[in-house]
Formats: sequence, C-alpha cells, structure tokens
Amino acid sequence: MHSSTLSSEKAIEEVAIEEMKEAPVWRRLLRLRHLSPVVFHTALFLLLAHLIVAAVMPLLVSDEIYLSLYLGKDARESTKRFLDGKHPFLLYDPILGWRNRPDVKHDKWIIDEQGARTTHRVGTSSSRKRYVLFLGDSLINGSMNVSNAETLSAYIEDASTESINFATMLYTLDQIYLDYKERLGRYKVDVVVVGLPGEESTPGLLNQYIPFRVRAENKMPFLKPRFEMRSDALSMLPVPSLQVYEGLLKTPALLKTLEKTDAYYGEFSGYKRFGLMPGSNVIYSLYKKIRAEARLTGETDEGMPILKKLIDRMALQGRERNAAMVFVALPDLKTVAPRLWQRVLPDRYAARVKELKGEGYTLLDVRPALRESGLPPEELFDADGVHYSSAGNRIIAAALKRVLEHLGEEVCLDSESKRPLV
Amino acid sequence: MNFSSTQYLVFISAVFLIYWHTRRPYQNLFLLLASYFFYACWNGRFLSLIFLVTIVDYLCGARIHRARSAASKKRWLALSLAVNIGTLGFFKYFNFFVETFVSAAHSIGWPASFSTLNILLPIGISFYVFRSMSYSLDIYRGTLQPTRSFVDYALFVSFFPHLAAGPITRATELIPQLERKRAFSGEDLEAGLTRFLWGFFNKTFIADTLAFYLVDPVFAAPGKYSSATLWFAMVGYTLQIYADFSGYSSMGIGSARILGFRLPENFDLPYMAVNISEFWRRWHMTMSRFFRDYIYFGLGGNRKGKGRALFNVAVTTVASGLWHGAGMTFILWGALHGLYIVLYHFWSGRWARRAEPALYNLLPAWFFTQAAVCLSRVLFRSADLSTASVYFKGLVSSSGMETMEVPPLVWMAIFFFVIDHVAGWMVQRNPGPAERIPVSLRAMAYAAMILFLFHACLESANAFIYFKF
Repeated sequence: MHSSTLSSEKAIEEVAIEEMKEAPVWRRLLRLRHLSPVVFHTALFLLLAHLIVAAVMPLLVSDEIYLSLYLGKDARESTKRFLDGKHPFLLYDPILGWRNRPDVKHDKWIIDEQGARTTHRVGTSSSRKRYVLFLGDSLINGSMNVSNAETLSAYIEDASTESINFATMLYTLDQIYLDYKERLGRYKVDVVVVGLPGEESTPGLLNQYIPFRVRAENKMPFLKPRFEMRSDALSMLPVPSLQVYEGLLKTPALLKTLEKTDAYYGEFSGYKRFGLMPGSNVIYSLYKKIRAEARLTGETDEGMPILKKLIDRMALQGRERNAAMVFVALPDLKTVAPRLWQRVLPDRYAARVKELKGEGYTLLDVRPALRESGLPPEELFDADGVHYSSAGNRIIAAALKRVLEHLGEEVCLDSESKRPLV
Repeated sequence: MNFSSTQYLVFISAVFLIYWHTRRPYQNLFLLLASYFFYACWNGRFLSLIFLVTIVDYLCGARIHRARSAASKKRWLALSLAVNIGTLGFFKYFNFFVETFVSAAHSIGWPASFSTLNILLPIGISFYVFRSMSYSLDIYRGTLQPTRSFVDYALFVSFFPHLAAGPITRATELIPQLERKRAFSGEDLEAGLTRFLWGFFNKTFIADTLAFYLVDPVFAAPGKYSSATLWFAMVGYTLQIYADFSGYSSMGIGSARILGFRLPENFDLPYMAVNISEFWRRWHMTMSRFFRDYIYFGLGGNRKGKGRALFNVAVTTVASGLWHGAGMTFILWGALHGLYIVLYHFWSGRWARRAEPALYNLLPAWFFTQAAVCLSRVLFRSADLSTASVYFKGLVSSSGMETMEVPPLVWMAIFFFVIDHVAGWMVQRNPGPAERIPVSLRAMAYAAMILFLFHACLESANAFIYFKF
C-alpha cells in the first residue's frame, strides 16, 4: 500500500514535470526547485544571507565597522597617510579641509613652494603684467597627464598676462570661496577665474565627507567644510579638528554629526543594507547608475541657492579689491558629446549655464568652443572623460582670452558667438 | 565587457531571459545581435572586420562547394585565406614584420627605413579569423556542407561566449546546434551556471591574485629580485595563465550551456601531463587541433618520413607561437616547444617504451615535463627578449637581492589551484563520490563561493590574458 502510494505520487510528479517542459520558460523558472535543485538551494541560501545582512546585521554591527568596510583598504590607508602628514600631494588644512602640498613633482605634475601649479615663480615678473588668479578643482589645476605648460592657466599667459594657478583637487565652490578670501588678501590680482565643473558644481556643496558622495575617490577620503542656508544667510560647518578626524573610524560621534550635515549620508546608509551582498549590490548600483545617468539625482537644486550666494559674495569681494570675476563652466566628455541615448535626457548642463547667466554673472560656457574646435571630442579629454587634454586646455584658454578682452563691460559672454551677450 | 564584470552578468541575464522567450526562428538572429552588441562594447568600429571575414567566408564556402573543378575550388579557398590571413597579418603583424625587417637590414649595413602604423589590435581577432577560416577549409576538404542560413553562419563566427578568446569552435560542432531547435533544461542551466561560477573563481580569485601580488611586480623588474623569488614567480605565472585562460573558457562554455549550446572543451588538466605531447593534447585543445589539422597535417604530418615530420612539428609550433603574439619572445616560445616535442619523440622512441607506467617513472616524467613548460613561460610572459634574458640569468645567478614577501592571499590562491587540479583529476578517474554529495551541501558551497568572490575580487578584476591574442 505504502509503496503503491509512493509510486503513484512519483507518477504524478513525472507527469507534472513533462507538462512543465511544454510551459513557457518563465513559468518553469518559477518552479526552480524542480527544475534545478542545486540552483534553487544556492539561490535560497543567498537570499537568506541577503536578508540577514540587510535586516539583522545593522542592528548588531557598529557604524564604524561599516564605515571601515565602506571605505576599503586603500581609502583607510589614504586617511592614515593624510592624518600623519604623509599624503603625497595634499596636506590637512583646518579651514579648507586640504591644500596642495608644496614642492611636489609627480611626472608632469609640478607644484611649487607656494602650492601653485605654475610655470614660473609667482610675482617675479619684472614688468607689471595683468595677474590672473585661477581657482577651482583639478579641471583647472590640470590633469596629471599634461605638463604645467599645457594647463589652462599656462595657455592664457602672454606678454601682458601672467597667471597664478592655485586650483586644488576635488575643491568645491565653498572651499574655493574660502581659499579666494585668503588669496585676495595676499595677492594683488586683476582677474579671478573660477572653474565650475558644469552640472557637477552644486552636489559637492551639500557634501562634507568625500567618500559619501564619491566612494571611488579612495585616494582622497577627506572631510571638507560646507555652508548651510539659514534664514537666507550662509552658515559655515567647519572642518573637524585633527583629533576628531582621527576618531572617525573608531567612535560614532563624528558619524552622528555627518548624518545631519552631509546630504550624501544616505549613500552610506544604502551601502549598509544593500552594498554588502552581491545581488542587492548589483541592483542598488544599477539603480544609482540609472538615476545618475538620467540626471534625476534631485539634490542639485538644493545646492543652487548656496552656489548663487557664494558667487555673489565672491563677486562683491572681488569688486572691493578691483578684481574682475570670471566663472568658467567646464563640461565633461559626455556633456560635450553625449551618446545617442543620453541626447534624449534633459540637458541639465545647458539649464545650469542659462540659470547662472540669467543671474548676470560673468560666466563663460566653453562647450560651444570645444564642440566647434574640429577635433574629435575624445582628443579634448583625458582617458577619464573628465579632465582636459592639452588640446582641450588650449581651446578653453583661447575662449577665455576673448572674454578677458571684454572685461570691464560687465556682461556675460558666450564662446560660441564670440561676442558679448547681455 | 569582460566575462568577470558586473556588466556581463547583467548582459547574460538579459540575453538568457529574452532568448528563451523568443520564438525559434528569431532566436539565432537575437543571439547574433546580442553578440555584436557584446563586441561593440569594446570597439564598435572593429565590427566591420568581423562583417568582412563573415561575408567573405560565407560566400567563399558556398562557392567552394558549388565549384566543379579542383582549380576553381582552390581559387575560392585562396581568396578566403588571403582575406583572413591578410586581415590578421595587417592588424596583428604589420608593425612586427616592418620592425624586424628594418632591424635585419640595419644589421647587414643597409639603411632601410619604413614607417610603422599606429594600428590597434582588435580584440579576439586571432580567434574569430581562425574560426571563420576553418569553415572554408573544412568545406574545401569535403568534411563540411555549407550552411544555407547567413544568420547561422554569422552567429557561428560571432557567438559571444566564444567570440573574444575561444574556444576555437569548429563549424561542424556549432552550426548543427544552431540549425536545430534548442530546449531549455534544468540540467543545462545548472551545468552552465556552476561551470561559469568555477571559471569566475579561477579568473577573479586565483589568476588575478597571483598576477597582482606576485607575477606582475616580479616580471616588471626581474633584475631586482633574488633567484628564489624569480623561480616562485615563474611557477606563479604558470598557474596564473592556466587559471586565467581556463577560467575564461569555462565562463564561455557555461554561458553557452545556459543558452542550450555545447562548446568544445579547451583544457583537460594540462598540468597533470607526464610528457610534452600529452601536455599539448590537454592545453588549449581547440587551438592545438587547429594547428595539427590545418598546418601539421597540411604540411604532410608524418607521412613523408621522420625528418620531414620533425620539420613539420617545428613549423607548426613556431606558427603557434606567432599566433599568440607578434614578437620574438612568442616565436622563441613556439620554437622551444617544438624542440621539446622533437626531443620527446627521440627519447620516447629509444627509451620511453621500456619504462613501466609506475609512479616512480611517472613522477620524474611529470616533473621534467612541467619544469620545461614553466621555463618556457618566461619567454611567454616577458615584455621583450632582453627582459627574458635578465629573467633567465636571474634564475641561475641573481643580481638582485630583493625577496618578495608573499601575502597569504597568494598561498590561498595556490592552495585552491592545487585543490582544483587534483580534485578534477580524481573526479575524472572516479566521478561517483562527487555525484553523491548532497544537494544542500553543494548549494551551500556555491553560495559561499559567490559571497567570497564578491568580497575578495569583484572590483579588482583584470583583463583576460588571452584577449590580446
């Protein structure tokens, strides 16, 4: 009796399996347990592991351990080197977060004793030339694949113009503003050129701990100052002291602060739940990538009021010291030559430029000049598609020179039309 | 798009789901478009080369089959070979031959001067050209009927699991599979996924760990390391290249399997071989048989006397070296293997037959075979002859004193490599115990392996060694 029941059950199962062979594949995949027990059980174990990691582990594991995993070995080592004053390119700065290490030579990248990437000693010219102070991030400072003589600031120089390039890696406009206040007090400059990295110019203004915004930047896992808007005024959140900094990976205090002050803390929270397991990581990364590519990040607009306020302050302080301000919008490769599918997305770079021009700032949009250069877009950029090649810098410098010729007219300029725009 | 990248995992998942929900007449077309997309992710411009080779061999194959006279057949075959070898020669060997010619001319006092061109090497060119060329050759030899469907033929040439780095599948192996209806099965799904996972492990953990921590630093500056480190790195590279290439092959075979295709095996535990001939029957098997069938047998094999057979061996192995890369190191590597085979044939003819296949005979045979293979790897891995020369000198009397501190990960990679090889050998001899492992235990091991791989090596995956061939 017992064996006949078993055999009839087996027969029913065999019929079911035969029927399933005719079913669509998606239906058969739903019955993975019968289709392939090994794959089914592997998936089950993985699912279980995902659930434990997403739901249980955050209750048991401290944030410091998560941060250590989030940073990875390279970023942890970079942090230690930085705090020990052994970072090859940068030094801790209590106001700016970091600044260029003086007297550094790394292949083509040379920083002088004042921390500037310049072809000659600043201020040594015998005749009085027009001084142009360059501030910004690595787009202005120049790629490590171009020499000092091939940077934007070098290409602008001629018989009547001398440049000083204090741009620093990963600086955002809040740091540029703080740097600018200090530089204006120390140097007598005629023109200040500030680089704004296209549509990327506002996200960094909401960020205090670099890895939260750009995890891949494992050579610079640093803290930076930022400004908040309080009652229509800027309020500064300073860089923590070295002692507090050192506790980042050991105590939860600073992380608790960053949860409130860094708009990108959510990236870290997402990592805790979804980043540690392969399946959830792939889905989460894909989601973030699609969101970033589709430029639907949403946070950029929050930074816009801060950006405008900082530009206003810089323009005001420049006027007080008789220094003209020129802002340069710097697009990346995908903004200059978007792929077919990117063209259907809204052109946020153009919208950003339009909005800032609408505010009346002296803003140079270099995208038209780059597009009309006649060179393939890839030749204008480094392999990373972000930093400019020597050819890219030369074209931007030519567009910038045309703007400098019109300075004093208090107008916005467009490199495409090569004439002042009101 | 590497097989070991996240993009590929997304790509193969999407292809798998769409393919099995596509109606039969359009399945091959879909796979063809997916394969072109896969290739275009590296460089879309080089798709034109694949189109050229595909169209020419498809037409030549049909013409060879229809030709009535032997002369006409030969003409069409010559056209096919000229286009294939011309394409391969131009993109892979043009600069090498120009530079070698100029250097040779200078050495005899003739001031020759020819410009080289800035030619990019299209990924996988040696593989798809050979694959496509074998189609015309097989039709010419009467072992294959041409396929009517252009889509099937184009897919045979470009099928993404074997497109970039083999196996060098024969038309007789794949085209019949393309022509018949495929049925989705749990067995294929399981075999394909586990095979892919094993390949992934070999590539991203074993090969990349050995490369990153041991092989790359030592081969970059062999002059500064001690003899012991050089020996260790040489063995490390021998393990790395196998894990890398067999890992890629496994991922390709696994990818094809989940789509219902069986690609030929490319490796059969080559490091268990006890003589050099056996090694070549176990290493990169699809390439070895290509050279054996089309070059060695084409030259007459061993039918024209012993002397001619040895000459044919030498030509075949040098051609194999040249196939791997345009450089003197590869040619010498091929020639060295030719010498090994010749020496082995002399030895086996005089003494080997007397030897009993006992362990005390097999162990030294295994040791000398693998030592010879290891030594030849120095030529294969070195950037140029001078680096190889420094390396060889360092093996016997080191000029450098630096001894590399080997991290535990490297030992772990070596441990898993040995386990993989020995377990594979044991399963091959007696598959019974492996088949009796409970499903839940196997599943747990696979899940653990996936989690381990994710954390250990996903983000540090390197490009595959065989892509550049």
